[in-house]
Amino acid sequence: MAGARGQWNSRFGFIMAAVGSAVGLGNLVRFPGELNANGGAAFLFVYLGLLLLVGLPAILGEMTLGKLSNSSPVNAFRQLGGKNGNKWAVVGVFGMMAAVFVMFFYTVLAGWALRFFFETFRDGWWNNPGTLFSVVSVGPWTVLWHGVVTAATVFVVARGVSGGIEKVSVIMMPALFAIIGIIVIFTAFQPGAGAGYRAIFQPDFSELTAAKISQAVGQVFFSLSLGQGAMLTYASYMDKKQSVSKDGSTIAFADTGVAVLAGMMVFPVLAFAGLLHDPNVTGEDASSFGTAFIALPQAFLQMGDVVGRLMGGLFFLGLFFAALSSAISLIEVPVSVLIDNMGLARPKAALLVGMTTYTFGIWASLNSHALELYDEIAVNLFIVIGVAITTFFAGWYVKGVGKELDRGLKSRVGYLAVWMMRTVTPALIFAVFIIGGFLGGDSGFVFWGDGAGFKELGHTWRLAFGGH
Amino acid sequence: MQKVDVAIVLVGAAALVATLLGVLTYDDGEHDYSFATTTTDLAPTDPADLAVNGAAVTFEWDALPANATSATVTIEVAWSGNVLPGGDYTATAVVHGRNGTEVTSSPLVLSVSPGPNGAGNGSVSVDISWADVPEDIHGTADDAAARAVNLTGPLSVTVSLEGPNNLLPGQLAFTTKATANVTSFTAVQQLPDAQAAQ
Repeated sequence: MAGARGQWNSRFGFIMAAVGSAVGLGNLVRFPGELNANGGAAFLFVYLGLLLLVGLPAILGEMTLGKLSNSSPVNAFRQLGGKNGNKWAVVGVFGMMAAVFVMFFYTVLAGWALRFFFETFRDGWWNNPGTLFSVVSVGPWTVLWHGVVTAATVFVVARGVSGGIEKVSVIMMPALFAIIGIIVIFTAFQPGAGAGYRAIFQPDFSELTAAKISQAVGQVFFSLSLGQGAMLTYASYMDKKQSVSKDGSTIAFADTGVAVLAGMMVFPVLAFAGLLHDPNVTGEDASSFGTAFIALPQAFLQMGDVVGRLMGGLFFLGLFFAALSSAISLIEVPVSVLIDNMGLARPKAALLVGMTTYTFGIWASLNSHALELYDEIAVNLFIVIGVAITTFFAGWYVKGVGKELDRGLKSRVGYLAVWMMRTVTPALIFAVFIIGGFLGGDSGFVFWGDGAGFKELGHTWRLAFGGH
Repeated sequence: MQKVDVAIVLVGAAALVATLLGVLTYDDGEHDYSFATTTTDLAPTDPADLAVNGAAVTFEWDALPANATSATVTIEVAWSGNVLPGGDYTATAVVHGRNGTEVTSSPLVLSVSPGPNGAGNGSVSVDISWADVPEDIHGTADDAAARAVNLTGPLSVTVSLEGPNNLLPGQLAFTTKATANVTSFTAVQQLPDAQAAQ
């Protein structure tokens, strides 16, 4: 069975693919921005705590379901749900739908990064990043680049787990780490580097409000690709001898490590260009896309023609690698469902899913509110509820989760992890997201921050369809 | 032909049609803007002599930032000299903004106590607004440039002083000066954001 579905060739390949899924645009830009805006090391401290309380149990739960079932999300819930399997399968559909809705816009974002990388060799962002971004981010050319990225994603996924996803991941991810390392080392010697480090690391506990803490929970969720079936699907291709606990922890902490390193890459660059205190760049309402595609190119511009172009080009190449590896993991979710449930051949399943997501992505390419709408549907309707139920399911309903988590370990951590999945993790998710989601928006009890909550979803829906 | 092949052909056709429809009907004027406000300090004036019950003093700022909508003007009145009878002196500032707007300050009362070589001062601020900061605009029909405040003209303030007419000439002198800051807006194109961008 495993052979027919595909399997990772090596533990390294699996970890690279899974880290590639987790590391995305949010790690490189959003997380450093949150460190800066929310109290620096104080936020990092809380983030790490929440990673242990929420992120790690959730990712271990998802991965264990995949490994135990050796199936795609829908089949995994059906199989492990016993006599109520068909009802539980709905949760798998939730995960798949989350991946699909994120996929609708993710290839669009990856297309922006790819276009900016190519513009390094022309004079695109070199002249005026803001003007270029307004052309790149929305319009007919955006459709083209979205199509290019979707085609690349389909090509990789169609070639199989080890022959496509793993082969690409073991090249792209080390390349991404090298790119981040080069820029971090280079910027460490630039004027203003110290101010950049202080901006993200100097602790300020007064910034840690309830809303900021919920923001940290959200960052843990989205950064680890939870609730989208991606980790479950990737884990279903693991070798039976592999340890979920070891690999899941490695993935979670590697993801955080990359995000922290990204902060050490981005903020010294902004400090060098004197953009640290620009509210449009580092303010609480600043768009992370604006920081990535407008402010950072402006900062690279100030480093001179050759060096600035080199560093900027490397940054956008890294951004593209991060986005492409995440897009691959997203498309793999519905592809695996089509293979497992409908018996489709992998290339045909990849083509079908790719063309569908391309078609829906056209709207996100031509209407930025549609992009936000897809995001909010994925977050508000599928991801949060999906993670909560998945963790609950793994903790209370599935037998053998603790034993599977103990595999390959000398100490017995499975019992503790299952206890967390049963109690602390779902309770925290419920408190922060479900309550916040219902009461979010204009009520003043906003846990989800900007652009979230069901009221905000309605507002974005109206904007996407041309309303006010 | 299998069902999946039919599905691939149908979805492919839908993708093609959606691409053509989307690209051909796309309106590249579609942008969303919000309007950020900034406050700019205008150059402070030099002190000018202010006569009691006499001619008023006028300060004027000719150049205001683009899209200026409001201002806060502060006048300070200072006195010094030998005061024999003393008394209450009341300064009033009338601020003239753009679009014919005019706001008169609340009275600034300076109580001057009798005595030799005295000195003192007081100040009063006036808020004036002649245009609104636009609300966010969405969609294709709106243009940020159309929200510009096209009004021109200086910002000025006229200061007058009234008081008891019982002083000997040269015994007590008043001076006044003014500072102002102006609020203006700039259009900021709204950028999308996505939480699930991992």
